[in-house]
Amino acid sequence: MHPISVTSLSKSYGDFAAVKELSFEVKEGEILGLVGPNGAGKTTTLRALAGIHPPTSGTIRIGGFDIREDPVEAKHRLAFFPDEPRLFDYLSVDEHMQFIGRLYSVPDFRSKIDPLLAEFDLQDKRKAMPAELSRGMKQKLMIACGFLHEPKVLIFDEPLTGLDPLGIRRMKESIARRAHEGASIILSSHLLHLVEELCHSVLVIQNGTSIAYGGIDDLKWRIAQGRGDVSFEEAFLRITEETAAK
Amino acid sequence: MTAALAYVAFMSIKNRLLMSVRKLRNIRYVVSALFGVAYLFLMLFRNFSRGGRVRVLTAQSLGVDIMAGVIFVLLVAVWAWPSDDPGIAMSESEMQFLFSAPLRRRDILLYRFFRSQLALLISAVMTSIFAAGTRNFIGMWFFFASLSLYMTMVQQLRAKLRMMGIGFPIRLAAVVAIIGGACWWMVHKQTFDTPVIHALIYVPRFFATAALSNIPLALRLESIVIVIAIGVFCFFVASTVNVNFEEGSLALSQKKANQVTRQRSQQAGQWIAFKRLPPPFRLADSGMPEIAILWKNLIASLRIGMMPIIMLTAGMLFILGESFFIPQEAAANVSGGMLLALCAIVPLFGATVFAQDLRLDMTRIEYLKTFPISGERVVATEICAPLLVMSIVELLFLAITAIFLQTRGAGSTMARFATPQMLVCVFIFTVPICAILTVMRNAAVLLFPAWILRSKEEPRGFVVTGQRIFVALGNLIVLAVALIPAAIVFIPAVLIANRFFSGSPGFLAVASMPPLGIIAAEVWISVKLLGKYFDGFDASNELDRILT
Repeated sequence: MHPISVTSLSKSYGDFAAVKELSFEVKEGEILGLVGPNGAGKTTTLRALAGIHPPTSGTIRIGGFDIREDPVEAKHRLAFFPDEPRLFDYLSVDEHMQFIGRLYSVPDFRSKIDPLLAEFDLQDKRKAMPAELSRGMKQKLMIACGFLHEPKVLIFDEPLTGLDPLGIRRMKESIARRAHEGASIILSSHLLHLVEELCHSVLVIQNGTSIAYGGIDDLKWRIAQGRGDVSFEEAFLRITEETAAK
Repeated sequence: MTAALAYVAFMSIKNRLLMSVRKLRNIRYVVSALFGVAYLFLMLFRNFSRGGRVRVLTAQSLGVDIMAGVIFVLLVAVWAWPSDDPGIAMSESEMQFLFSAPLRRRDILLYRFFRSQLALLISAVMTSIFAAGTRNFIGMWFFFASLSLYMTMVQQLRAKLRMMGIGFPIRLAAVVAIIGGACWWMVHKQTFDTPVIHALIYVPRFFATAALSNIPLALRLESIVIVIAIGVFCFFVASTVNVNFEEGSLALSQKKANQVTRQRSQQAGQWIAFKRLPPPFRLADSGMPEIAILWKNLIASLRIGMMPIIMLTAGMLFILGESFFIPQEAAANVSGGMLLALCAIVPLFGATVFAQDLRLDMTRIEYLKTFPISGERVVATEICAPLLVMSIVELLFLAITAIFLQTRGAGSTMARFATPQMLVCVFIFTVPICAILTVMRNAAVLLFPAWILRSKEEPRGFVVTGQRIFVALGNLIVLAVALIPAAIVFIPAVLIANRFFSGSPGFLAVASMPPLGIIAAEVWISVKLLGKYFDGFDASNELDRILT
């Protein structure tokens, strides 16, 4: 079984169905791009995968564990990075790392904190409180915390928001390295060039429904239909417009 | 252009009202609204059912003169306000759209006037009902509206005066001279009833007769018309004063936003007073992961909840210190009594003051839900930190009180009543009672998150009043229900303990264990149920509005 396996996932808020019958899998070392227009249901899908919102129906398995039946085991294997970092205002950078290290029972976590803070350029901010950090730094701290327990499943919601150019480059390298080391990653972003650059496969959703799922090259080829090469951006726009027209 | 601004102001008021009505589809909001309306009617009934004949005032009545005098002082004193910044309080979105639009200064002031009318009307209704006990809220509304236009005019004119080189000291001197002169004139003539005073309060009297009740209808209507005319005059003056208010408005908006954030964090027990205080202990490299949550919340208790501890300790030290300056018998009874009263603060208010648990973390509920710990354990460890802090503070206070009563207060009535055994018993009961109260408050935040966590989009007014009454009543009822089984068991436990262990130290243990066991069981069951609720908690239903 693949580290991320989603079958017939649906999530409704009252009468409104935000996600409908979504099914997909992510293999070890694979990065899946989750894309779609605003309000398509991307964040809802990611939150359901992270065990934050209980799905209305369907199954989500993380590392072989059902997120509803065995949430503790599933959550041990995943890290979720929301688009808006919500840190504990009263803990310093270093204390955040210690807290997460102990919470996830990371062996010898103190020795892993320094390299991670260095990876995200936060080593000078160890004693800083969240109020003293910029938005980008908060984002980096959130991601450093998530990487500390070396999760096998990583879920990113707009990971590059608020980062400077160097931060963006490092973040891309970090994500690619984790995938190379065997982590299964889902990355939701509106930056289609990022998706094209990092992801192996893509799931396009619109109005909560999957409208395209597969390899990025396959998708581009399908859209091009023998009329020459198209960019992923062009393919995305064409497929969402076609679906909207239907 | 004016029509467009009036449309925006009207639509925003309408949409706010519609949103409040739509919320009533949710049963929780209906209940709170009903509580709020019932409370409002009770207050109305209380005010209007006060007996006695209503005395009709005339324009010459002393009551009118006194109110006119107060209004006169207000109208003049506002000129002596230190600030000469022309900034107008507006929301960020209003500034973003309006300041960059091709609008005249008059349009923006008019928009702001329209926009403030709902708030002014509510204030007028509330003031009429609660403060004045009258039904004349229409007159009060016109009074408030005209007064707000006058304030805007004076604010703009203060800025204009600064540009002309007339600053705060000169304005203050002029105001002191006018008010002081009027006072001196009254003292000199030994009466309020002089032509000079009448001339000074001539205009304020229209405000008074418009706002007050028991004024003949014709006189009131005449006053309202004049008050409206004054308001229109003030508006035109304010709109023609050539001062730049955009920059000041930006600064004012930022200042207000910071103020609201600070107030909110202080109210919710989230203000970090001592951010450099070190953690209470070193987090070991291995062991139960729950300790990490306890560690985190204890850090929060130190950095956020230390201020009340310092204040309570200062109070205790003051009482101990002053006891050495009064006779021993008085010290034993007065100071001893005050110390015991301080000890009672923790069980009574501790669960409200020390809120470093789910109440503090609720805005990060999404993050909490990704933790690899079951909901039951999250809830249990979240409430551990405030409970631990309350227990330590209470133990310390009771120990100091016991030592004080056995030394300085030895032999006194207070010492005979509050024996060390009795204080131990108090402590033993304080901990589970604090636990129940803390669990209840955490349950409230999980069951009614949108009631506890406030955002500017949340309903206000009687709905919130109803919510507060509902939560307070709910807390009382749940506490009473939780304590009844323990109280029932306590009586036979005391009788049995008295029969077999009378006079021995075992009496206390035997008598207190059964009720304590029952309270502990209740806490345990509550935590289990809350944990289950936490696991299934769907933050998307209510929290998204607050988090975004």
